[in-house]
Amino acid sequence: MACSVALLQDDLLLGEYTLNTRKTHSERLMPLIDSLLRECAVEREQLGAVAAAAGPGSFTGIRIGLATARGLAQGLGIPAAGVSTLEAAAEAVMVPGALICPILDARRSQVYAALYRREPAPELDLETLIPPAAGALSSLVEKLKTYREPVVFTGEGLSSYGSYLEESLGSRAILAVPPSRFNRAGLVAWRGRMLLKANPGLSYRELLPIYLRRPEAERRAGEEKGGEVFGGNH
Amino acid sequence: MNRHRKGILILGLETSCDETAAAVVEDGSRIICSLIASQVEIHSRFGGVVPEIASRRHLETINELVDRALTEASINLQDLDAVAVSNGPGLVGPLLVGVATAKALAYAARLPLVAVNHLEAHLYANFLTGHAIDYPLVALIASGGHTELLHLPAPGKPVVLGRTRDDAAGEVFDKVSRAMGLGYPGGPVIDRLGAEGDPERITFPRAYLDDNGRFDFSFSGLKSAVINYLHHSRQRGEEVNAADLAASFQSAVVEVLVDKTVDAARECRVKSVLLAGGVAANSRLRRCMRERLARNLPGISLHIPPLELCTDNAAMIAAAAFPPYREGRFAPLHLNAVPGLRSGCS
Ligand SMILES: [Zn+2]
Repeated sequence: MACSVALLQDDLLLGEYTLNTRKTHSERLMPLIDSLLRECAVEREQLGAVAAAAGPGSFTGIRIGLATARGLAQGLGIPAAGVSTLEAAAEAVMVPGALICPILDARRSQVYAALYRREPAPELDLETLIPPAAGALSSLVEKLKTYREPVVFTGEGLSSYGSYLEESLGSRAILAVPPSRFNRAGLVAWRGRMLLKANPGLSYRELLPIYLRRPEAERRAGEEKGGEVFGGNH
Repeated sequence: MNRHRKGILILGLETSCDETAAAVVEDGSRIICSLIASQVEIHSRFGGVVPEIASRRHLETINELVDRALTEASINLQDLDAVAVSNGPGLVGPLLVGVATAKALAYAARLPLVAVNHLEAHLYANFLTGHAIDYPLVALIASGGHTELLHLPAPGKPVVLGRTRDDAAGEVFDKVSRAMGLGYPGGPVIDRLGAEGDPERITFPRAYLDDNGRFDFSFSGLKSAVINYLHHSRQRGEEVNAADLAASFQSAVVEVLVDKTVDAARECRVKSVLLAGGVAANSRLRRCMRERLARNLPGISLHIPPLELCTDNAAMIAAAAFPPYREGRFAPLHLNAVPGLRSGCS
């Protein structure tokens, strides 16, 4: 998962750092936040809200981001919004009617994914066709075959699974260009702003992770729910 | 809420294992409030701490615990002088939650951040009792995760004299307890049972190690000896006297801990000896240490924390942060969790 920090003033992106390197988020995140605020000449006390990617994704990465966002929101006494990483990725595709499928690598030969439809103007909201889940890519592809329209794929999972999608769906698979596949804080902030407009009372208490998976120990204890993972609700 | 305290107020956070804890301590010595959200029950059905489950729980718990701590202390975040957090040793997932939370809180409130070594912090539980403690001192820290003998010539300057080469002292109590079918945690059960038994009934090995590591500890040989004893007795169909076995095992652990601590105290010419960590709750250890010091090194004062401060808590983190706070040794924004953090290098 990329480490990304952005500062949004109303609709304007003042700045964004996105790093896709191996150094740990734990070491990187706070220095990046501090540096971005300095570069943008914004004092931390001027922040009006904080948004953070809540998952799905790397458990540890999500927790570092959420713990940081929670601490900032609590310490500054400002609202906070948790944003689905899949929805944030889908924000990059603004074509009315488009089917959008963000895909993230979930390890253990699985992906985190969902299918959205961009609603017509002026709302342009995201309609959820297949709810976010962790599962085998092949079962997701089977679901996608039941739609006739082209599907726009995005997300970091494409670097591993892009060619498989093109093989299975042919010309119906449209892959986002590589630099736009990464989780970007600018999109998280954008989506967070929408959530806070609809619900201004959100606080750090609602900043909860979206894991989509139980801890390994619970799964081994035989508590995993059975059934299909990519359910779909169309 | 107005600031009405004159001293230095430090908020301590602790998430290195399965306890989420937050505390406010004044001047490194007075507990304003100390809160612990224990996860023991959640993990008990897995027979040990599950790091992923602990990490999830810490994240869901810690901010509200901070809010409650501030409310109980009748202060705002701005009334604090620093935020302190343990960044190791411990489990990496749980530590990361505490470190990220502490960094963000300190940054938001423009407070200095102090990184604390969890293991060393245990000895600072002794500074929360109101008794004056004279330096130099020697501290024995023994719990389920660690066994270390530290020498502190002055505040905040620990030198490691020795550490365990295999099992921690508390760990052998748990393992022996499990082998005897007494359950978890093993410390209190063996302590209670051992009090009724004969500690000289069975002779178990005491590992004193060679000259190079004579302040190091090794308990795995003792653990194997107890398990073998149980095994052979069962094979021969002999009934094991559980009280005698518990007493004999406990006496072997305690004797080594006491001998090495007293030797270290003599050699370092200290004024005080400190016990800390969960094993410091053991009544035989407390008694034997007191008797041996009184007999061999009269004039040295022994300090043992109250039971509730022997196990993991955040008050000890805030107390341990006081010396570095006064010296201006603050942690940078890139502070990371260090699961294998060694003493003397936080
Ligand atoms: Zn501990």
